[in-house]
Amino acid sequence: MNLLTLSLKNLQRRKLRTSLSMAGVAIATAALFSLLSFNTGFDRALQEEMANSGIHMMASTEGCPLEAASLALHGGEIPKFLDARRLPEISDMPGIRTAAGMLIFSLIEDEGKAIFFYGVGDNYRDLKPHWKIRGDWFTGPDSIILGAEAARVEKREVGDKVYFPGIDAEFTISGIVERTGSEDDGFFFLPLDTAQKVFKKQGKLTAVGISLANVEEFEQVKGKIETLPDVYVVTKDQIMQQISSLTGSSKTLMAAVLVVALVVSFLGVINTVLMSVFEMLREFGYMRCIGASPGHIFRIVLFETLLLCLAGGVIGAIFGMAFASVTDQWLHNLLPYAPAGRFILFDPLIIAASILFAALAGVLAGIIPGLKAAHASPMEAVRNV
Amino acid sequence: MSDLITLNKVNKTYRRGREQVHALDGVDLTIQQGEFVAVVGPSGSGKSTLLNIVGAMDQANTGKVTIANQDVTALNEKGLTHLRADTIGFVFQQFFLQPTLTARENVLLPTLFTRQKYLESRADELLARVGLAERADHLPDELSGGEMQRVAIARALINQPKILLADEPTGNLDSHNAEAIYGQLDELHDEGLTIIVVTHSEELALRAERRIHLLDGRISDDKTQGKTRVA
Repeated sequence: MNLLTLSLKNLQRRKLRTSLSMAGVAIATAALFSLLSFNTGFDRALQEEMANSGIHMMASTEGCPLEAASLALHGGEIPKFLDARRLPEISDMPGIRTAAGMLIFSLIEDEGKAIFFYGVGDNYRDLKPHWKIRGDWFTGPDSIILGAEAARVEKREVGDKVYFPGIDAEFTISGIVERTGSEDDGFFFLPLDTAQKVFKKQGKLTAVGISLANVEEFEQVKGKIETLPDVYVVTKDQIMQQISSLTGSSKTLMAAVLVVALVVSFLGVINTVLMSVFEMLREFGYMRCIGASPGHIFRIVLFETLLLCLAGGVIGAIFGMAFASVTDQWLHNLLPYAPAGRFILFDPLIIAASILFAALAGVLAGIIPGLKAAHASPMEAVRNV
Repeated sequence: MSDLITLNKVNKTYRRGREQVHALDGVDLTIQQGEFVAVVGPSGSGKSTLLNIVGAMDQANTGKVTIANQDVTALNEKGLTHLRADTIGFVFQQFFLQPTLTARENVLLPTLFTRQKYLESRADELLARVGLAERADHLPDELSGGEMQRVAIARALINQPKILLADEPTGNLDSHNAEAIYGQLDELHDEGLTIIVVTHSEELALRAERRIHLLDGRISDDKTQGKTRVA
């Protein structure tokens, strides 16, 4: 037996109180683990998605091309349009592998919910190589492809018809994109010509997604495209930065909630240990009688909080991993733009950092109760109660 | 026999609200090695204050206290801690057993704080000595009051103290268990341990060879008496 095991056994004396405090630390650690994982996981997933999409740059019109490009990815209506005549001009440029035109429109349903329509050409599939379509690509001008979530909400299957009163148009579902975990899941894809006709934007495009045959020619191709009238080019990195800034407020909010959770759990641990110190003052007084120094008593209490927080930290990290898929799903629903793929993956460094943080909080939380206990005089043992 | 504890003109006052209480008033006392002393007197007479000072738990306001050749009044906190750990064993009315530690672990508790070796065999010897060899692995809530106090006595002896201080050691026990504790104290005294007990129990006071009576912070009577033993 040593001071550490004595502290451990002290914790076992108040099982319920210890368990509740440990649960508080576990929740805070799980939240910390999720946030740290999210911060790295989001950027990784975004990079992977951009890499998978094959889009190296996007062309849009004057105004706010950066916003247009990012909205083209995560859904949103842009009031300025690119002349569709630019599409073949871009496609014919040397060094271009794919140039896919897009027209994006939103429709507000009776319930106030926005439906996003993507008018896309056949070569759009080249920018989505990871798509798995149940059914077929567009089979005619009145066909439509639904994202997995859109199909689920509309309760539609391949071959069903879907009518949109807002534009007074009916389409036949030729295919449903299997769940990607990205914004694509909620979109309605129309043939580009049909979209231009339905939304009365013939000869107009929202943006052109471009992939290059050779990435080393990036600057040359970009320069050439920008010589076209009213065309502005936004690079993949710029789009990623724009998307990251869109999620910035969500990240700030989550960080704020996390700070509150950490503070509450920290105070909870101090309160728990302080209560136990008050209850044990006479015992500490007795320990002083039998040779314990103030340093011994301080260490007993400090080890107690350290063990409590360390155990809570380990449990929290395990729970964080165990519920990673639930947290992932929640974050995908919460964020204004969520790239496909998992945010929270097993990362030993993040797990270690979360547990270390909990342990550090334990040491800090132990200082006040530890000092209080260390001041216990041997006289406490004989004090009348 | 040599002097183990000496108190010269020891005064101890403390405040109780606005009132100044003279807990000890010019006390002179010498206790020799191997004595069995009972400190008796009415409540508020200064018995516990005397025990606190003799146990180096509290310091006198004036006067000189010497324990085992050490001038207690000159010791700092660290010196007092070492003196308590190495020289004195404490037994209180409340047993102060750690509820999550076994009897053996409770006996070994003081060794965590001192330079003594953590020897389970020594703890087992002491438990056997107080008749609890079979209860070494039991937790306090599995022991009777008398057994708990016997564990407390074994714990007080683990560091091989020169003095055993006991504050109402049978205060929480029935007569049967109290008798077992008296027997333990008698045995320890016979082996040469210096024992000082503060008690209201006349039965326990009669077991001591010397009785000190305190009244209003002063020694009103100090006499050697024949020890009462139960056959």
